[in-house]
Amino acid sequence: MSRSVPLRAVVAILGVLAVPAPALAADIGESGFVQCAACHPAAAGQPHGVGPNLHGRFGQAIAGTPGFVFSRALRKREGVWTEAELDRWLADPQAYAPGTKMAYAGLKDPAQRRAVIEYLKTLR
Amino acid sequence: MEYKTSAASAAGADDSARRRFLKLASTAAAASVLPVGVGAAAPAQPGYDVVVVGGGFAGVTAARELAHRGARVLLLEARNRLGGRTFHANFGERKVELGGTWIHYTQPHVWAEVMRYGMEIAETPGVAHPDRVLWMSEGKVLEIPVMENWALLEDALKRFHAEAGEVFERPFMAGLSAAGRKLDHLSIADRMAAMDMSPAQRDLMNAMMATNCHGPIASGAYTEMLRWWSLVDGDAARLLYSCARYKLKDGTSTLIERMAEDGGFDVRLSTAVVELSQDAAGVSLVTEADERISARFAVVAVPVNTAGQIEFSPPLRPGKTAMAKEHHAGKGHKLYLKVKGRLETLIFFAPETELFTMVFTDQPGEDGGVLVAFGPPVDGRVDLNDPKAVEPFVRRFLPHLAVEQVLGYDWGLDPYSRGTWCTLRPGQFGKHLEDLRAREGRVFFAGADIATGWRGFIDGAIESGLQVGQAVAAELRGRA
Ligand SMILES: Cc1cc2nc3c(=O)[nH]c(=O)nc-3n(C[C@H](O)[C@H](O)[C@H](O)COP(=O)(O)OP(=O)(O)OC[C@H]3O[C@@H](n4cnc5c(N)ncnc54)[C@H](O)[C@@H]3O)c2cc1C
Repeated sequence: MSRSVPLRAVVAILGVLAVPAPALAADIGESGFVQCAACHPAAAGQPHGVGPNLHGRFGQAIAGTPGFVFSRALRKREGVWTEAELDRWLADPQAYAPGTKMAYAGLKDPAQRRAVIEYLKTLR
Repeated sequence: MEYKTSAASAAGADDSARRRFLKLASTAAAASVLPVGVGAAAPAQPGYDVVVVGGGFAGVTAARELAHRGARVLLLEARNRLGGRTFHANFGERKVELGGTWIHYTQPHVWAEVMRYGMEIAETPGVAHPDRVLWMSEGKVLEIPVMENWALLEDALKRFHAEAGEVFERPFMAGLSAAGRKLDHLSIADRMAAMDMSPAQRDLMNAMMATNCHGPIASGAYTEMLRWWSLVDGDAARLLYSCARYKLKDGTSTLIERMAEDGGFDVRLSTAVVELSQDAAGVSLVTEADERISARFAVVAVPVNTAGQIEFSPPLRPGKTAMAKEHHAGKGHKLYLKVKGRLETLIFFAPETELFTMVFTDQPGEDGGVLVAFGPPVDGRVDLNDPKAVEPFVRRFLPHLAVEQVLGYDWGLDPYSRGTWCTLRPGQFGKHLEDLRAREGRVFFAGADIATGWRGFIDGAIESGLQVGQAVAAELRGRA
């Protein structure tokens, strides 16, 4: 994890390379995602941390990241990570998947959640 | 002695150590069924001598000790990292310790590791040399010169701990003396209630004690605080410094990686154990992925609060099952606050009715810096992940500051810790500790939570890992 790229740099690089990152997401390094980044790597190819690497996961299967061992609780959830699913998950992980290994009480502010989801969408 | 990695290269930077370690971990995972020094033609289930469950400091120490004595050791860790209740993690562009952090030369086991591996030490300025000390009492923020505040606190601490000498003849003695048993029903709050203090002194003392037991002072046992006091020879400054002055410059992860690298044992991460049974011939473990692993002995080095998640057969002693239900008192929070505005080197306290009981400067700065804050459990009443929710508290002390970011780790929610550092509740020391420490046939128990000296600390984890490693090694030699 000491190899992680500063988030602002990630956002900047992604902005240049492909996706025009929404203005909102540019501030993420300063707000909500900082809390995710303690456990989740987000740069392509980085090994999983305490939590799985989140690169390219938006729109992909829930608990489907190759090479990461998910809790039974999250494996039981079907479907893909849409905005709506992510919003429910991030608001209260323990309610969404009781028994999840993600030790996070939730991001309660809807605007902050929105910003984190926008940021996750840029990670591809 | 066989080493698993080509760790011959000198101690490198954080990064290269991490890479070497990851190599070790993934090699171990790929060849999880191969013991040290056995070629590919070996049978699929090698005869492990010992399986260690839990890769915190206790488990890693026990595994290293055993492997160094020639045992074939497999360590199973539920999380995708070693370190347990220590976690050196990213906070924006810097790294912080979200769990266990501070160590001290009064802590012999961890300090021996510091010396052995030549670890570098850094100081936390807010505790090492605060320029200001503030505290909240009866809703008001008070400030007097640092040394006057210190005299007030020291006076309370000395009187509070008056019975330490009777209860602990000296530190590091297993078990609780007869004098200790007489006091073991008392909480910290009970003992404080019997003291004569001004409201200002009482609130200062409450803040310190609620931080020590990481919860309301009614939840922590008085005997536990007497134990701490005996460990520091009744020196109040040393108590504070032992708890929050010196830390590993490159993080706790660097030390545990050095120990694992040096160990010569196999490691499997992301492997939670759900069942453990034993018979006369050996132990058998089942993982969450339904894999069965056997060995001659097991060392269980998981937090006492989580032992109930493993199904043991035959069942464990009553003290172990009781603790898994009752839990210890450590349930509070520790947060890093990135603040904007001039941040001096200071420390502030508030009683347990407030959001935080102790807050100090981790990094001062002219335009902003970082504070580290401890508080009792909030049970969902305040959103600790929201900088705006914690800002009002900080601004009562330092009105010019804005809280920009917050980072903590919810150790209470994490199924593999279910709490923070161990301070026993009233009665648990006398009632459960002996059971908690006892081996059960081929299964041995280790952990900071059951150490004799610095129980609840990194030092205690290493103390316990060393003792249990020694005990199992003696068993393997057929001596016991
Ligand atoms: C917020 C916080 C601050 C602290 N501050 C300090 C400090 O400043 N100084 C200090 O000395 N100490 C401090 N401590 C305490 C210290 O970190 C711990 O006492 C010590 O690290 C515990 O070590 P351990 O090996 O006994 O247990 P742990 O570190 O908890 O290790 C147990 C391991 O077992 C694993 N595990 C659990 N269940 C299973 C299972 N079923 N299968 C497989 N693996 C399993 C866990 O994932 C974990 O890795 C702090 C702790 C916290 C949480």
